[in-house]
Amino acid sequence: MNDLTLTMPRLGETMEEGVIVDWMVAPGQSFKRGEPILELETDKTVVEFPALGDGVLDELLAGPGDRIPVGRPIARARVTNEADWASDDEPGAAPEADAPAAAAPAVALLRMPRLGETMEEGVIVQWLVAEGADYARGAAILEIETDKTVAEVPALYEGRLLRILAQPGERLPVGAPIAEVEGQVEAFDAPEATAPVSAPVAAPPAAAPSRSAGGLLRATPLARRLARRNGVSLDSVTGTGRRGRIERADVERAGTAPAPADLAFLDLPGGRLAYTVAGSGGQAHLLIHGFAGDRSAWAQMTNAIARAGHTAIVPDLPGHGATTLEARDTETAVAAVVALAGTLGGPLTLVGHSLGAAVAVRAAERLGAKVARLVLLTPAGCGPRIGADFVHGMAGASTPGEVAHLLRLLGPKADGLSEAALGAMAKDMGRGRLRALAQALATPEGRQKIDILRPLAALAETIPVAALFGTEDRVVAAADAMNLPVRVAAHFLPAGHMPQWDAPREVTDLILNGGRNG
Amino acid sequence: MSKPEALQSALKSNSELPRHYRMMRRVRTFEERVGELFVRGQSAGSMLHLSIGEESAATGVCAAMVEGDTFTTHHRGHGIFLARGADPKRMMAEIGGKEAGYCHGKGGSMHIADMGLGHLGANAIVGGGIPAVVGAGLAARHHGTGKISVAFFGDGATGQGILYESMNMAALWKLPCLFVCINNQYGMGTRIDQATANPKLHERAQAFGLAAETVDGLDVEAVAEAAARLVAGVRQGKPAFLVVDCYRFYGHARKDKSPYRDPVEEETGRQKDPVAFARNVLIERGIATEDELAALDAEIDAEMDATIDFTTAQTEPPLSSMFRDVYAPEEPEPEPVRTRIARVLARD
Amino acid sequence: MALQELTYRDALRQALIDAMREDPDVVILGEEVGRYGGAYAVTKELIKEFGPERVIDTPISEPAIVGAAVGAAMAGLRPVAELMYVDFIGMTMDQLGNQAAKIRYMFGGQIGVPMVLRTQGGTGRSAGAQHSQSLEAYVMHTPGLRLAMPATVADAYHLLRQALTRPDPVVFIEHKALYTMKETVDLDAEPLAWGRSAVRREGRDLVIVTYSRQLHYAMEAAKKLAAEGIEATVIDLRTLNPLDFDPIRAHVERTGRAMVVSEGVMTAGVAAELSARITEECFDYLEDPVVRVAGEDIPISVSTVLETGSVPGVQLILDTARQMVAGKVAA
Repeated sequence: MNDLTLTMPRLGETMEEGVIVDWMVAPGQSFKRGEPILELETDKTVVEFPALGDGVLDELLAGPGDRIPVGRPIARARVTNEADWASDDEPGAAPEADAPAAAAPAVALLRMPRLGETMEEGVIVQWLVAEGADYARGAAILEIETDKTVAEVPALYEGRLLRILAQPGERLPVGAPIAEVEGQVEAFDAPEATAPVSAPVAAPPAAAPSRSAGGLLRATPLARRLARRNGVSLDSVTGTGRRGRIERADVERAGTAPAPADLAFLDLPGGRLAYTVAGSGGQAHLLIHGFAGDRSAWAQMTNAIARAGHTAIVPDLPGHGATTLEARDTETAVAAVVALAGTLGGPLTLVGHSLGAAVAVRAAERLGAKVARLVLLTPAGCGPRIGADFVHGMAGASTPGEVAHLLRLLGPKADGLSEAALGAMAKDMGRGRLRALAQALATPEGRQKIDILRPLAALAETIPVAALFGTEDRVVAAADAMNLPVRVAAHFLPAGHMPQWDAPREVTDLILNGGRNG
Repeated sequence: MSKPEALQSALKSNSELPRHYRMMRRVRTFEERVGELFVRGQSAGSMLHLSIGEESAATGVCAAMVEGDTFTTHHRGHGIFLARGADPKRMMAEIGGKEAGYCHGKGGSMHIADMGLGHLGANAIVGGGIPAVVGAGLAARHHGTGKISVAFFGDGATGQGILYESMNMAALWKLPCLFVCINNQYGMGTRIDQATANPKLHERAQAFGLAAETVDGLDVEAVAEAAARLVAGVRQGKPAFLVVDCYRFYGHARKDKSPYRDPVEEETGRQKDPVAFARNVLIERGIATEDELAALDAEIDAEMDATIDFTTAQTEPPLSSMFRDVYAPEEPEPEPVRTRIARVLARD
Repeated sequence: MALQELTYRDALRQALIDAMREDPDVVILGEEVGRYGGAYAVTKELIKEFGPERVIDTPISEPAIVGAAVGAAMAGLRPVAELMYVDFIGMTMDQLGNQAAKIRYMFGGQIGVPMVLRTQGGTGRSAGAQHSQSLEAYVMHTPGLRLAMPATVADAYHLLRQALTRPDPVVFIEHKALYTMKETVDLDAEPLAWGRSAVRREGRDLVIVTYSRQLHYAMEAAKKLAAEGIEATVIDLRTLNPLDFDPIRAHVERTGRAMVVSEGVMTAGVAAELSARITEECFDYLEDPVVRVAGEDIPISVSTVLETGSVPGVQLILDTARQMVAGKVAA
């Protein structure tokens, strides 16, 4: 027989304590498994508690009428098998109410602060922290209204809000208790120290129709997304939608700040090459888009390069965008880029994406010392295969739906083009402008027809070359990086085929700083 | 533990009583272990409705059923299910909400079923399972199987309109349906005479044209006899209604006390113990001795103790299983709320 | 095969006949389905071909009609229970919501309830507050129940045929104002798959998501809008469970504007659910709040004026669409 301390059982999830109605076995008496040994009253019902194994009751620790918390001892017994009495609930491990509490943190009174010399009283606007919630140092605890403004009151020390003593709407003199908190509070008599409140919001710009009375900007979700993506600040946009709401068209009109670039043209035999220039001075970056893209693929890079004090020159390759030159093969594109570079001063950084990377390599070969650096994003021409679905699909696409589906192959961000843009692309593709180029690029089965590895090895001996691959790229495999010449610095990002959309910050860093800040 | 020889021979004798006793004792012990599972904190939930005192109804009626017959039960149906051949380990595991239970922890005490035994479900809605036997009766007749369908329910269900709609249809269409009302005198805390002006429940069924009887649940042989008599007609397309008079030994759920019951009434009620009655008859008739029965009881105790050990050792169902079986296995599972939220709030 | 002119009622009736000829386990049970031929004549004369054992006239006991269908389905039949009006669904909600919907789940996948509950709802016949409601939200709010609501003659046939092959209980709600609608259809043509919505019209300016009779109002409104230079996409859900959301997403992402049209009352209804879902899933593409065009939060009156006024119609859809795209469409 083993000694066992019987404890108040938990009968049902909600039971926290029980009342002993009566013992049905007296000390010294034995009991068998299944026999009731005591009667209990819980919050729900009265129940007989059966023995969970055979044994003898030794001593009662609680008697009829006693209210005992779950898990506290009620009797001592000897039992044949202790294991019979084990339960999931581990009553013995129930929280001990009288266990020495961890050193109780001090309770302090938070008082109405003085925010500015003239403030004598304040009105509670709202509490920003709930009773019982912890707050970090610097977190806004509540909002108060003074004679001058409405301001948030930040916590000067971390702590916990125990009890709110003053409710929203109450007007109280400076120094009046407004809450009980756990943790330190600022000594009240130091008005200077209580002053740091977040700066009152500046008066809203006069009658900006896109702002609500509360100062929030009115813009549709779509407009917000476009603005985010194009680096447009909504503050600078005038809304023309309902109630002055900023809509997609408003953002599109606002263009791509900070240096809205005007389209320029270079006349060449066979047509005109369209390009834009953003920024001025600094290092010149020639950004070359990929198959079925256009200069808009670089919108965020262009802005970042201009903001950093450099210049970005961004062409539409032959067969693409506003360029009227047709694309028979990659050579057409290389010739156009070389011609464009001829109009620019050096040294140049060539940045190419996908097919544009192959074009950049071929152009760099011919431009020689004028090119100071090469940055290749998800480059074509480095491996045996390329995503034929995309290449031939785009070349043959004729509806916005087809274009939208194919663009999804490019990665998570590739589906954000406007209906108008999709329509324009579909129209372009529908004219079959890209069919010849697609055939020059890959077989219908996806075997890649161009190879840049040899010229790349030669270039990498003389200038820095960086190549970036997306580990989720469904057009150019990241594994192609294994074929690169040793002197090419290979970078990888968790991105699709358009790392300049999926990870613009990292790509910008690679272009401007060679990835050293990443 | 070997089966006592005398009992062995008795089991082969003409009398069904030893088998009835064995089944009733198994039901009783199982139910007691269910109460124990709860006290151990091992049951999933506390909605455990015990049929202690009603074992004769389950045992006697089920003895008249054959393989292929279907049935539905109420929330106090452990005994009926056992009497139709259920595995007590998987039942207990289901009550414990374990993966190894009959319904993989989704049903629990009130919804245990094994469709392989013709069980069309245990129901937690009073009267909810009754009309299904009308449909099962239609199916049996349509397919010409000769099988019957039995609805088990408590006296509380006589307050539900669905019972009368179902009896009317069964009578109108002459379906092979048996309605078994286990009258344990209480619908939760309300005694039958406080809930109905005419407690002669079989008269209600007679009003619909059903063959109807009331039998005393103290004597399992009487129950089995009445059931066999009615079932013979049911198989011929004469639907019937059987009231088995019992007394619910304990509270509505588990072994709770029933403060709404007079202790004297309770004590008298518990005299109506079909298990003890059958035991005495076995001894009186010389079919079994006290020692033999004690050995049988011990064997049953061991069987039912093992259900607890089995349940305790089983694992909980995996959380992902909660999306299973809302629809058929070939259909897509519902999308978890968490996944939806993550998708909606994903940064682009 | 042959093109033929059929009414919505003919198509439903034909679906039942074809299913019953193919599968001897299909039985119909409901009030007035046999000798009377169905309150809306969908089961007219079926009893002649299939007999009273398969076209079963029941007492007026809606809970037991549905309950018997549940038991029959579990025991190997493929019952079609008919509820004369969807307004009576409250009577059957225990058998439908607690039994049919949950049996597969509660019993750990051991058994399903392959039944169809055919019923009809909606306004249009001055049938008053208790015979004119659109209660599909009750069903859509209950996991385990599939819900089909055909708007066209072809769908009346094909969705009912498909419902009779599904492994789970299907509530099939017809619209009482559509029974006499005629279309020229080829019932042998390959139908849309079960659970797919249909894009009935494509346009660049806004998306109208709807089902059942409101589809026809939406199409009429879209035609008028097109004359004004406003192009609407109209999506017919066909089934509300399963809900085919991908096409809605694709179209809303292109147009930036969505309206959900439902005859059921607005609050906590089907339109509310769809609107919430579009707002959540297409948030970044929205140029306007998703607008619910739904029934007024009031009971239906018997007066034709009040009845018609309490549910959406062509004019409300038209006005709403005009407001949504005002000044946003190139003239």
